[in-house]
Amino acid sequence: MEELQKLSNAIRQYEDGDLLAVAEIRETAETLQTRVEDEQIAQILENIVTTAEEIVLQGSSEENLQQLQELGSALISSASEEEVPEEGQEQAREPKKGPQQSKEQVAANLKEVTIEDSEILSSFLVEAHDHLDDIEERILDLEKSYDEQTVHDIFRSMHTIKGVSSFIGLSKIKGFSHRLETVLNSMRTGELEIEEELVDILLNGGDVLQQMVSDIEAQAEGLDTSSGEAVIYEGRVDTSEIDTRLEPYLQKIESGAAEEKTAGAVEKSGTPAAPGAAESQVKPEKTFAEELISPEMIQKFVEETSDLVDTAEKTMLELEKDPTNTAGIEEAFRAIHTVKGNAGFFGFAILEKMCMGIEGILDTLRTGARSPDPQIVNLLLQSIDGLNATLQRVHKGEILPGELSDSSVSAEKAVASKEEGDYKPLGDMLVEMGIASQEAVDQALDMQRMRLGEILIDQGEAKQDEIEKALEQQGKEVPEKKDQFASYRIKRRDIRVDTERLDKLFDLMGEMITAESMVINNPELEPYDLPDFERASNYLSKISREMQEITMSMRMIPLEGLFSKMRRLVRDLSKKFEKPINLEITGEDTEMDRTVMEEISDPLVHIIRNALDHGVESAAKRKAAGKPETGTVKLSAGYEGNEIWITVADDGGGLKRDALIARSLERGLIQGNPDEMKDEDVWKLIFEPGFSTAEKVSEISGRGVGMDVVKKNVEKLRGKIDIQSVEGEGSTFVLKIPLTLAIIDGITFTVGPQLYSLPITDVIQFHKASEVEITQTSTEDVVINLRNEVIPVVKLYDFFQIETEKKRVEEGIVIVAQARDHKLAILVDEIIGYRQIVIKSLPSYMKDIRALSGCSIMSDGKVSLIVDTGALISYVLE
Amino acid sequence: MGKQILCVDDSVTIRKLVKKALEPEGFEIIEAENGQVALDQCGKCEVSLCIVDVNMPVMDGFQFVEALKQKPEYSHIPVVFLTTESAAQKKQVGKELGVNGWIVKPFEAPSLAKVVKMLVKQ
Repeated sequence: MEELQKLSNAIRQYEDGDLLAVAEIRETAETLQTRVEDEQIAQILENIVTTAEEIVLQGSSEENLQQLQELGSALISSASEEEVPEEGQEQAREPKKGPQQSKEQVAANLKEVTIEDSEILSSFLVEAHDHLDDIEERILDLEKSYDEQTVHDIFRSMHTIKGVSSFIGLSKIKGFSHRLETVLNSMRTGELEIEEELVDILLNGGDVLQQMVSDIEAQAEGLDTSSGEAVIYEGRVDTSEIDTRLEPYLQKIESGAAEEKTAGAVEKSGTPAAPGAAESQVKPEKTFAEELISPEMIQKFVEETSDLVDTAEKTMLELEKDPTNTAGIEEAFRAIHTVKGNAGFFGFAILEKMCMGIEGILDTLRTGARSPDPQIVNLLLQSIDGLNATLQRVHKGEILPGELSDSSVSAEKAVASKEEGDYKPLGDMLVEMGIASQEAVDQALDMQRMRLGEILIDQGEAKQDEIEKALEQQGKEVPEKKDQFASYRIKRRDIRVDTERLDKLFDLMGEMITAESMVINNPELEPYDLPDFERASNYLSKISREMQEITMSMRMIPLEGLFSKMRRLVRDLSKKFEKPINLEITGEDTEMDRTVMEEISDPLVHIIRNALDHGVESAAKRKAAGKPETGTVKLSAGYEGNEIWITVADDGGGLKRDALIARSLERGLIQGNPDEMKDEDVWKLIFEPGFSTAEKVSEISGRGVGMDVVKKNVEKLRGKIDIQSVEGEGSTFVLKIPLTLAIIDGITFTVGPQLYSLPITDVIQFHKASEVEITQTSTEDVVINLRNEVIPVVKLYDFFQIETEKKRVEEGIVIVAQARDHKLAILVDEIIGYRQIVIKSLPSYMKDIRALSGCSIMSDGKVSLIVDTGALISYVLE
Repeated sequence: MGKQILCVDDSVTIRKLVKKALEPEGFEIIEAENGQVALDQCGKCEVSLCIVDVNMPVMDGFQFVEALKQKPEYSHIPVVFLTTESAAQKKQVGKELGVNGWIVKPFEAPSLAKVVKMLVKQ
């Protein structure tokens, strides 16, 4: 009887999906079935067994869950008449209690833990140490810079430690790691700000955990469970200090969770006409726009908006002090206008609405329709407080971005937020207080040329004192919250720096490297042996190298933004071409120089457009070719040596060699025998100006301009494009962009009195030519024969019109350089050596000189001109 | 050879525990440390049941199940989540993905064996 009662309870408490519980139920029912005498109960028990099996094997449905519940209750009612024999079944049915629970020693802080399997324990110890080492390293990273992934990784490691320790019965380790995990989880979700104290606690907490594990390890040494269970003690490590420090955070999290729950409950019981934040969070299907809006983007939005609102606030405060100081109104107007636009994009309708009101008033001030009297400034300041308040809620995630355009929902949201005691626009307040009708307010808002209150007075809709009362009310409405807002600061991990200042820093860094080189390689020091100076200068070089790296990294931003633009592009084009396409993005966290990224955007768009238009075939064609109907375009980025590679790979038809050659012949782009061309050379034909293979010209791609421009843009960045393609399987475009633009490794040489440099990546070899290798092909043209390869020679003194004594090829040195797949032998006087050179742009009066990409100041103060190998080759070949 | 059960967990300890619990019952345990590896394993073996952790690097439990259920040749394989996640929302996600249920860590070897035997008829 008692057992049936228990079974019935177990069924009542059964939570959908809990396999352990359902297995227990099934087994208990089966065992009891053999023992009960009452046929009716036996039948019920049998039904329980089959229903439980159905739930597990076929998945739970409302029917079978309900059936189980009914059987559970039926069991009790039937059993009340029937006695079941009890023969020490307790043990068999009762789940075996973990040893840790039964042997709890409360007296001392020590806890006895029974270890059943030393192998498992040692496996845990090794794993725990690994995780803790990982955790420590990552927390240190976190201290340097915040990274969501890092927090996530720490969380996961902590989670694993918790999970595994709970198995073994190490409940102290489990409990402690659970507390740390809770805090980490809140950091992960943004509930807790990452602050110094927290990082410190985590670090120390990791240490304590490490000690706990080591303590167990010491005891476990030599522990042998082959003959049975062994006992170790837990709790010899004191966790109280960390626990005390963790307490406030845990409380904060708990109160946060409680608040959320009540908020959720209120939301649900509320009218369906007010879909609030909580509801949209649960909504499973995200619209495309919502997918685009990542938490980071919202974070950026909050930061930017916060700055803009601050700007507006500053102006207002200045206006308050000096009403004649109207200089900032324009700026404030623009700031609020931007906020309005951004808020609209993110779907924060309430913010948008508030901005609209403020913007309207600012507009009247801006155009001089009204003068900024203290009252109006006060109203504006209050509105700005309201904006800040709402912004804070966005920051906390209480207001989520909504649909991009659905205005009805947005309006409802605005109402919903307002009902939660938010800042109320004056107009709403007036309507609520019954002073003015909604229409009158709307009308007035439409005009919005004058201050709302005054319009209403003018129109006789409201009296002056009533308006003032409303204004007063508006001010009073949220007094507690206002205080909260006053202390509110959006904690941010970055500061805004004008890019001009950043560029200046960048320039100065370059200057410093030059200056450093001037000191260290100073010719006056040459005759002396200066070991101490050498050491000091090495140290200086090391530091300046590090500084250079940091300066560079400051201009780096992740490719994420650019890549998400591509997501949109692919979506739109996929619709347009009616080709279902799946874009897979990886490596979006790869960072790139901001200016380079701007340059790379257009070429990337072009390549992706081409991939969608010409690369991926139509669904019907794909189906016929036995491919999945949905095409795949993979966009990825990553570091390769000193370059960033951005790869666009499609699984379309690939480039067609024959078609490319035929088209090129038609356009006269090929000299020589096309059959002898290597595939990669054939692919490169698409970069030729005026080339287009598209069978039909579409709106966006295939006009014959494009790929050559893409190539030029990429080459401007000293980058390259590689193509791999297999007919029928797809093509891959790889943009290879050098990491840094401003500082390169170069070879410096002389021609006459002038210094020149070449990027070391262009140089293949140096050669002192002998007479037999040189052939005069015409009065001016000379070629050199190197290892059976005939390479044209350019005499740099001739090219740049410089006086030198070394005019014959065999007198100087030949530098064999390569660019755009052509080799060129450059005749120079003398090689000076290898240097790190800082590229400076040429002064404008030198811009017209051909084949120079910049200049650089050498250690002795002389200027070296940097030769653009690619351009030089094209000049020579022409 | 007994039926093959795929245990997907980034913790080697958990994998060992599962092995110890199930091998005496005549099951063969195949291990995978994340969803990606697990998917590869599915192609190589005749898997009768997947016991899957939720929090894993590279490919987590949800992603794994999603990928698994998308492949017609594997979609029939029952899946059990072995997890410390007890949040109802996550369970709902699991259910929608088509998992048969979850086992909350820590578990006892006999209980695990019970569940497995119920799902895999030998």
